[in-house]
Amino acid sequence: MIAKTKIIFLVTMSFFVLSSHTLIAEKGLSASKFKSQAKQFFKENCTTCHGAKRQKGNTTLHDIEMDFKSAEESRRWLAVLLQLETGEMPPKDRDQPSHEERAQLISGIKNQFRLAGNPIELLRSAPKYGNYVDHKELFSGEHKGPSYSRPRIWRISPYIDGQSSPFSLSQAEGFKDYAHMWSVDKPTIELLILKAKAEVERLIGPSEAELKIQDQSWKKQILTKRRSLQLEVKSQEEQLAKNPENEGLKKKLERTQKNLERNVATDFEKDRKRPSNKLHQLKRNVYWRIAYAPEVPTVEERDEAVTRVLKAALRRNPETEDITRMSVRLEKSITEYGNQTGLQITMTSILLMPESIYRMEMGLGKKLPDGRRMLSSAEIAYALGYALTDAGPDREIMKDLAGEKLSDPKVIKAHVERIYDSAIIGTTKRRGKAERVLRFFQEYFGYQGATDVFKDGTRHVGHKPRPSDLIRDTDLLILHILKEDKDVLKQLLSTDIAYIRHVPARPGWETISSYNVTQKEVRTKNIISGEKNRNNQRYVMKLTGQRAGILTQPSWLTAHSTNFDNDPVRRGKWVYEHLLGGVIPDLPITVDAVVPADPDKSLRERFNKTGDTYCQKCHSKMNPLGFAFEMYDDVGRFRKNELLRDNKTEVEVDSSGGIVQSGVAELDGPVDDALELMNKLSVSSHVRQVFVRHAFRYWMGRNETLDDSPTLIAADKAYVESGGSMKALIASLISSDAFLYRKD
Amino acid sequence: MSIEMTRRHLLKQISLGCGTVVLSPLVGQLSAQAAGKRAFPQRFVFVVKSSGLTPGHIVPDNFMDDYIVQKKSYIAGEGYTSGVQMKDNDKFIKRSLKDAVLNDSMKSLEPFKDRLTILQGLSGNMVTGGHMSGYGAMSCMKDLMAETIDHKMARLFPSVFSHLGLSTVTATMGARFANSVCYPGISAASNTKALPFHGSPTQAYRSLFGSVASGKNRKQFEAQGNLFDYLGEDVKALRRTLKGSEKVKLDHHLEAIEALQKQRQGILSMSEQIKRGKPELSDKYTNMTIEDRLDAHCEIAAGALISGLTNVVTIRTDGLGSQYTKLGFVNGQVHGIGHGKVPEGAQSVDHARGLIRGFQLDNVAKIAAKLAKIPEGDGSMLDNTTIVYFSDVGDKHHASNREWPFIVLGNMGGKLKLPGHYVQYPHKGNRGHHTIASWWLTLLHAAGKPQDGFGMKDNNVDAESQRGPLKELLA
Repeated sequence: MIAKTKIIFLVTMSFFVLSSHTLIAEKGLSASKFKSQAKQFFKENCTTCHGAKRQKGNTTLHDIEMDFKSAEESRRWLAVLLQLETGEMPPKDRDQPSHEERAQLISGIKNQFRLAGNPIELLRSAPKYGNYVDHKELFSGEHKGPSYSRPRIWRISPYIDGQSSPFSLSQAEGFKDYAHMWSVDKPTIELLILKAKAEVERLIGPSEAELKIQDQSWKKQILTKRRSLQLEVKSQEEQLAKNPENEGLKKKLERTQKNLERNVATDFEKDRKRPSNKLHQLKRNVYWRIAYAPEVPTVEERDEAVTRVLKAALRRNPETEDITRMSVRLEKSITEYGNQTGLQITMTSILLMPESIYRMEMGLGKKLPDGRRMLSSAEIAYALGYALTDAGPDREIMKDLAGEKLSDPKVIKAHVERIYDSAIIGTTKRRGKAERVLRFFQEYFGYQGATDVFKDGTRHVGHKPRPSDLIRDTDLLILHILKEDKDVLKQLLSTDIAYIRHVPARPGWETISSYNVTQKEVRTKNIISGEKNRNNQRYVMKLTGQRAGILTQPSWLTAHSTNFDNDPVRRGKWVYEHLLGGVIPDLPITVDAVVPADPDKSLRERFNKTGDTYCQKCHSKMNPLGFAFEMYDDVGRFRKNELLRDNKTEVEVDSSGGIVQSGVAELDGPVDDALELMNKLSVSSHVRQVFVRHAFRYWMGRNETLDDSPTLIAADKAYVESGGSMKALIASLISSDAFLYRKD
Repeated sequence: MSIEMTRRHLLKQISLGCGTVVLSPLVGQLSAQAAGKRAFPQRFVFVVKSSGLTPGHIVPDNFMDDYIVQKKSYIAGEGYTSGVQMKDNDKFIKRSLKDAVLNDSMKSLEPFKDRLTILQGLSGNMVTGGHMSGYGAMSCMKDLMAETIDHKMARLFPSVFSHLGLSTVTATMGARFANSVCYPGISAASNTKALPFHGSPTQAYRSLFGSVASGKNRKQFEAQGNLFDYLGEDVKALRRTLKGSEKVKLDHHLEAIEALQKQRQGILSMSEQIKRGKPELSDKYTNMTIEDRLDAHCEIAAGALISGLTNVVTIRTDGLGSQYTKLGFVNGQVHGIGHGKVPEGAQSVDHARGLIRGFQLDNVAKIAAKLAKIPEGDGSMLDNTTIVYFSDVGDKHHASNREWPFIVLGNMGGKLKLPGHYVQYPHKGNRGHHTIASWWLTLLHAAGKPQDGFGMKDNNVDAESQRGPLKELLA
């Protein structure tokens, strides 16, 4: 029973029709006209280096086919498109095409993809393509929307589905649960059926005959236990006879004797725990009555049964239509297979209705003149409930649903604030849950990957923290920042405090060596006394001069490292994409990236060996960002010296780095180390906007488009005006048009 | 010549009976054989006990002087340590079992001595020890969920039911009988998906053999067809209201349901083969004793292999809370015994553990005997079946995992140079020592899917010896 859920490969969809108005606006050229236009452009700008004579970077354009359906040619066209969009090609030192020529070819390529049934929005719908929409345009204020999402069905996440869910999530870095990402495949359905069948069997309960069998084994268990207690009493009495003064033994014997008395007193007929005594309770259960009755159930019984299952499966009150349909199904199944089997398959089929596997966001509410439809109140209730928690809408939301208040964005905002307050700030009496808020930060920063990087312990003698503890350290730090809810991003990127696991009584249960502190220091320099949480067994320390935010936490650094070394490329790529909003194309397949393993060179020196100009195009942006983190080793410990691969020589660490080609002039420039880098980034408004874009993606379950510009600007404004409140940012996003409106 | 003829004849008959949708692995095998290739699938049974398998207890009686020291018996309450302990060994030992006097608990394996291997000396310290190692025993990934060896094998040798899990208990620490689908936490398909096990023998029976059963079970299998129809109907109804990528999503969903419907038809077309493997329902399928449960599960396992419904079975024999009542002692809970409590009727803890182990191995022998009766190629089905008996923790109740013994029956159709031997690798700390990862790598290697490493590495074992298979065992 292999259970794999697969990502739909949208490239293979040939019958997709998208009528987004942005696409309709591009009238586009016919295939033949586009062909001559493209050929001309390539001839003037590209084929000197990428043609029949020279194939720089193993890339040629003279032989590119006008086939936007084949995977191979599409890949080539997408590469061309990206080079044009980012302005990477032609190289800066060569003649450039005019802005119009470039724009024309860009829109031409997009149009050809659309005509081939592979619109670019879908080809770039995976989370990693989020930054492909131009940042300046998005926040220019020129794009007025209106904003909306497509009607969609969103597979229930494994978190909602609960333990032993057959659903899976992406293991790749980045957001894991976009709405369009997942479908359900055969092994998953097999598992779902197994699960549903077991649930049905539980709901129906055991038959009278089965209860009798259970009675016997229950009785047997009690008798076995009696025997064991008798023996225990005997042996304890013997022990006590040897040590008559021992109070502990006396008490122990008393306890055992009491247990034995209770056991002996068991009334095998009337005991509450006797399985058969559940019978009268079971008889009240409509499923049980139908399953084991000799006669065919009445219409009322049928309706009652299907209504109850429907309610459980759909997590809402079912429509009359649904009840009738399922009641007929039940009748038919019973006629064919008898009461028990008929009921079982009907109940199983209800538990597996698409609505119980997918969350529906079709837009069943009122329609606006511009063609957008609002989510219905019921749809809003669930979308809102599942945006913040795994448990779905709570009592208060359901109350407002009944009161028909949910279509008001202000009411929605108030619910978000209420849930945030109760779950994260903890100001309300009843403590709620908001699992999805912390999960956003886990998926955004990707520090949970720390458990996936195997480290050879012999290189770090005496240093043995569990990666899962380091991850929890970071979780708690983030929750602390969210609780303060002030300048959240700035704090996340630059705070000098750290949560440190330390269990004095159990040596080895600690992460203190990861933070370069001693046992004495964690005890004496613990700064937030109220937060020396016993359950979490963590101390909180200020590590000024050593740490600045999540990116300097051992969990993040470990997650972004290789088995033996730091990984400046991945670290730099992360910063370039997640904080600077830049685009780094996928590693070209022709590149075999290997860092030489010279035992006598520092990592920086080894990297510089690969100074190929072709590689430098991307690496000049990533590496300087990543090198700033050389002040930590590959398990995230602060260091002044680097231990070379020979495991003997130490050389002084060089953590200098810089921001290169960020697209924001005031950010570009060298930095001394990660601390300076993070402090610089943490106050940048550009970085803040990029963060808002990521929050948008997570809560909308899709990448942004230019139409989402108003929603993004409003969210950014809400965040700024609230003094950097995450609560305000989420509330703004969830009450936005992009969240509430649907259009095909 | 005559065998070839019979095969062709059989092939013809089965093909005619199957119609066009042929899912039967048997047909695939036969056609390959008719074309002159040997293509029997390799079958695997992983029998996983709880509470450790003590190395000293599976050394043949007449080898004991060479490998065992008798120590003072266990200290109660301190975690169980057996009186028989292995001598530190720094050599690779391979000794024929021909003249071996097997331990009492292994007597039922006597007829299969020439197929038997006692594999000792491997360690597993990359995995959490103590009461349980969870997925670690078969994934070597510490306490994390990760794809386990049984699932890897199921991918390599697929069938209608790619992996069949059968468990007597819901959880390792638990005492409860599993009565429906359960997740005993020893097998996983990936780091996010635990593999489901059948807890109830009747449910497992229904799902595997329901197609050829009679009465209520047959009815349930037939009803499955309607269930798939209903599922398809509901998806189609929603699909009509959708456009674009959402529609495609449901197309995938629908395809999956159709594939299940086809699989069901495939099972129906295999009915002759399934009848051959189908066990007879009896009281033990519903009885609530651990002994009957395991017995029933083992019958199902053998039946599922014989009928070709699956090639890989994992059996969870017991949990730490399981109470044995039919083995000649009472009050014998696995956990209690593990902690040194001698159950009434047993002479000692070692004796009780021996009786439990013996009972489990009796059932292993029963599976082997059944497979040995079914001809396949020039021999029997057992020739292409490998049964691995071990514990989900290493050497004892509170396992240190410094030793992790295996009892292996079979040689993967000749790919392993094992059978008929007592094999002992040098103990940890000595040159030539290997971890259990090397053993799983050996199976993968023999299955034609060699890989370099398996799971996490033990930092205290030479890295080179954690790479690749156990060369001494490969044919």
